[in-house]
Amino acid sequence: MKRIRLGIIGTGRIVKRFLSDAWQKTVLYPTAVFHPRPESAKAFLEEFYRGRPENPEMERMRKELFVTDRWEEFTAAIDAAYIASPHGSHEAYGKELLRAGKHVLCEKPMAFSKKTAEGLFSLAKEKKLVLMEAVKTAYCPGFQALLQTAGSGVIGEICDVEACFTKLVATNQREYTDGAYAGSMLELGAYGVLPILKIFGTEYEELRFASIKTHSGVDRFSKAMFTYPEGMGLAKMGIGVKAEGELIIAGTRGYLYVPAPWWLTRRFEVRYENPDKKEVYEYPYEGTGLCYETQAFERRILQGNGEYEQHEELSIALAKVMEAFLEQRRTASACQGTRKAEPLERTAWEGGKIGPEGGVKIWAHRGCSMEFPENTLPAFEAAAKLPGLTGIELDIQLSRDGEVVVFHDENLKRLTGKDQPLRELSLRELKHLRVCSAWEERAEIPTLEEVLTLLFPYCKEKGLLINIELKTSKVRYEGIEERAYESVKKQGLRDFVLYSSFLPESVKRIKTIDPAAKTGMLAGSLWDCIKGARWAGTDALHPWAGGFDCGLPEDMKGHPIRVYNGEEPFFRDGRILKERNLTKYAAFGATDIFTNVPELYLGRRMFTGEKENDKIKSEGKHGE
Amino acid sequence: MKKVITYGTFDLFHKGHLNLLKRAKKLGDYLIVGVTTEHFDEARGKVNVIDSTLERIESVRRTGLADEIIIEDHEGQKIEDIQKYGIDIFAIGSDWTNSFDYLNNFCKVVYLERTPDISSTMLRKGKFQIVQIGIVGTGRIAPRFLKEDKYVSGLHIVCAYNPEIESGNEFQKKYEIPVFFEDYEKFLEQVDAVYIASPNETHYAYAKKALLAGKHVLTESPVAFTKRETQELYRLAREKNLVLLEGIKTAYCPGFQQMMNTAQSGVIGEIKDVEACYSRLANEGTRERSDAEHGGAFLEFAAYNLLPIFKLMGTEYKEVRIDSVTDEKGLDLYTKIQLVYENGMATAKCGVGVKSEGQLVIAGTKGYILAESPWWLTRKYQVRYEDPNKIDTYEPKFQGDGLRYEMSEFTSKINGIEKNGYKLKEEELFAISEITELFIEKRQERKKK
Repeated sequence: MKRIRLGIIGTGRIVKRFLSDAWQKTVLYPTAVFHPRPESAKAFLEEFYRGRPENPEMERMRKELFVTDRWEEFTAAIDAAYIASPHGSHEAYGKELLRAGKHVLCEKPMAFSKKTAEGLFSLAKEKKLVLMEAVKTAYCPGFQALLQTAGSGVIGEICDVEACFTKLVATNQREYTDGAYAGSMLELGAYGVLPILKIFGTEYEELRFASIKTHSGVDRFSKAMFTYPEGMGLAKMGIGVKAEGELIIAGTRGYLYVPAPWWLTRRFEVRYENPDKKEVYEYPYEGTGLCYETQAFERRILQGNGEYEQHEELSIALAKVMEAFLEQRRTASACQGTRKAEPLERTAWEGGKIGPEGGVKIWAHRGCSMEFPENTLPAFEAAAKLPGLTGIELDIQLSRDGEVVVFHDENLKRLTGKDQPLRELSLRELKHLRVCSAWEERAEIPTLEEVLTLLFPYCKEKGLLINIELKTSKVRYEGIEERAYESVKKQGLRDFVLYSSFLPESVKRIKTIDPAAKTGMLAGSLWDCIKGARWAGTDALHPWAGGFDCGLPEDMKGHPIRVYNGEEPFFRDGRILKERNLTKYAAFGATDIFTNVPELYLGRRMFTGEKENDKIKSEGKHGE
Repeated sequence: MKKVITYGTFDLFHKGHLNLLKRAKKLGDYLIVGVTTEHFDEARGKVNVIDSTLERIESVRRTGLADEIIIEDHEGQKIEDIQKYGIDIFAIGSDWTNSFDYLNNFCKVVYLERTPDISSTMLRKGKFQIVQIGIVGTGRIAPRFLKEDKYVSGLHIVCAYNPEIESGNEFQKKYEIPVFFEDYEKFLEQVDAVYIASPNETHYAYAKKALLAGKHVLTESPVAFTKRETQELYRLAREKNLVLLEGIKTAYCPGFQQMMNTAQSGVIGEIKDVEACYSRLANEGTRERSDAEHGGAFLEFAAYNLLPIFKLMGTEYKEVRIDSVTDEKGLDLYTKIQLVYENGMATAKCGVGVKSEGQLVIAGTKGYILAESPWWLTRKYQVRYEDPNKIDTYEPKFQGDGLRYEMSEFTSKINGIEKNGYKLKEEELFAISEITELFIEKRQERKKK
């Protein structure tokens, strides 16, 4: 049979899944990937092929699938396309492809207004093309059987449909950072709303929304409440609130219960008043489950459109729901929380404007730790020289003989190759080790005193700050607080140092030694920071960038929020720098960021120059 | 330094306790006192502890004898404490002689002579008054009340009242309890308190008369159908210094209280959504499915569902929306109440003619609590997280059918022991009746259409 050449737009998680099995049982054949930055898509494909089992199909795809950033080249090489680019670009890509005469399979949500959706469908009809929204649940056999059972009368008349889909996503992920298209409803709404529209139809009497939002107005949890003449529907979506993910279809005789992950329908139960009486149904669900939608897509292209009308109606209804949501979001009272941070973009990217006058401040995390071995004098020196840097973060532990040394891991292995806890070695023994063995002589483990001596002039002249993290949460290191404080005092740097720890007791200890000392509470989530800070009386919150899981209570307002992230590579650790745009942290209310690559934010174009910089900027706007 | 530890409930703190602490203190230089939580006491079979844990700690603190006060809340803690605090002497009252000999392996055990005759057990008897109670209504619930009666001390059922002669006679014969048929006033004369288990629409009138006659009232929910009437009755009770308790038995269930505490402990992060569902497919002929005025899903189950919502989200909701599926008579087979708060939301689902999954889900920013049917008699609940393999299961104690807990609360209140009604606050009841009123209003509107 003739192959249908398939083009792919986007390089997110869903594309990885799509390429792995969605097309293999069809005549659809991936031939081209469109991406505005081809090298980024190439890297994505490399990563995808790595570790993939060898098979002839995959082998052929590897040889033939090419990446391009030229639209004409892309459209010339394909008959149909799968759109999985960021949500905001679906409509535009869809339109362009249809105009170019290509069939379109578009990730949900396909459109954000009823009118756009209708426009796309009428364009498809006019051009005799297939346009389909990739609502995978709708096409899987289990879900279709579920709908049939629901309609069979076995649970009596259906009165209520409730669907819940929640997953806790770190706040530095695309689900939160995709600007106007971020949030629970746009991310998961198509799943939640689908069973309701399928069962009760698209003619609801009323639709209302309720949302819980982050500082920046992203809905972490949303409910869509439908009222129909004969019943009601409730869709619940969450990326920052967790509830039981289930689908319940309640009737006058019993109900259907579909446990999570109901959106990949493998199993459902018919339950009754008598809890002992229940019927269990099980269905196959192959691989990623994307094959069902691609098969439907293929069928329509080859044979014309059997179920076409019905799905068109569904897609238009989904777009109408999204439109209503966006309208409601626009008019709803201002988002919760009052903190309003300037986007980092304005302060960091335009160069030289960072500073106490209100921008987001940049801290070098363990020094310039991508360019140099972390927590070493070269890394600190490079950072100290950066214009506009607010401060340097470093970690301290105690050697066997009680010396304060600057080192991050409790075990020496990752950085020196020696598999032994740091606390078991004396300072003399530690000094024999080399941090990252490939590096030069100087990269030894420094003592706190050495680092303070190095940084002293920068502190005094430029006002550089130092954040000393007490590594006390795994090994307690009794007395480390006193020793560190003494060192700082001896150097005359009391006003330039702030102390932080994951252990509330440790920062509290600092406050007992010197109530004027500044402290910060470290934790994986903002909520835990707040709890720790309340207990220990710290002056600042140091949460993980992915852990903005709550609003800022009254008593914490005015506390600096300095975030760290775990995504940037360290010196030669084999990872690629993906997360190069930290603007999004600012949107969540961060006042400061700790970064391994302060040089990229502060205008010293270390390895890449201007061009690379522009690339970084646009990368934040594209791809998952 | 010689360290001494002792443990106790220290309920209704008295001189005997004080003497014991004094003697324990004399044994060494540093005294640690372990105060047992209500929960742990109950697990050991000691119910009816009257002072709260905080009050009991405060009693010990005021003596000035303890250098340190700790909480004892689990089995095996004594051994842990002895090692943790480096204890030299374990001291305890002589009524426990030999019980703690096993601790000799860890430190020295000393049994102290107790002052005779003033243990709190004695004190409790003196303070306690036996409540003579009469039952109004002899239908389905009354026999359950009788059955649970023997598990609650201080309550004595003396008579019943039912204007329906047939039902009353049957009851009288079966349970050998005198039943009054006509004269409610005369019935009231026989008792200190009433338990109202008559049809819903009669609660208000019976309760009001009882209060006016100076009787304490325990009533099945709802006490009234409007917020105004509910408030009126509570005001009346306050004025007359009487106890008025609404029998939403879930509220008094120890497991339910524990679940509410777990929810608010931070383990699931901030609470953002509460969903409660209680549905039962009742037979067509039953009262709840045939009485369009006083039956139906809402009036049957809303109070249970709204209880955890108001407990966790508070009563200051911003918006409320009520949707019902009704039968041809206008009776609601299924009703869903959706509340929106400043920083959260909630849903209550009630069914008598529609069946749904009966569960309570408390959704938070880190995880959620799931209690399956019958969550309203909380015997089990789970804390779940994003990682589906990580589940913490709690199985609190629950005895009988739950009625005994509200009965015991009622007696404690009458005896002035349970001062603050934190288990079911007035504002929560008022909020429930406010929603009830709204529901009835909406039902009226529907009928007009």
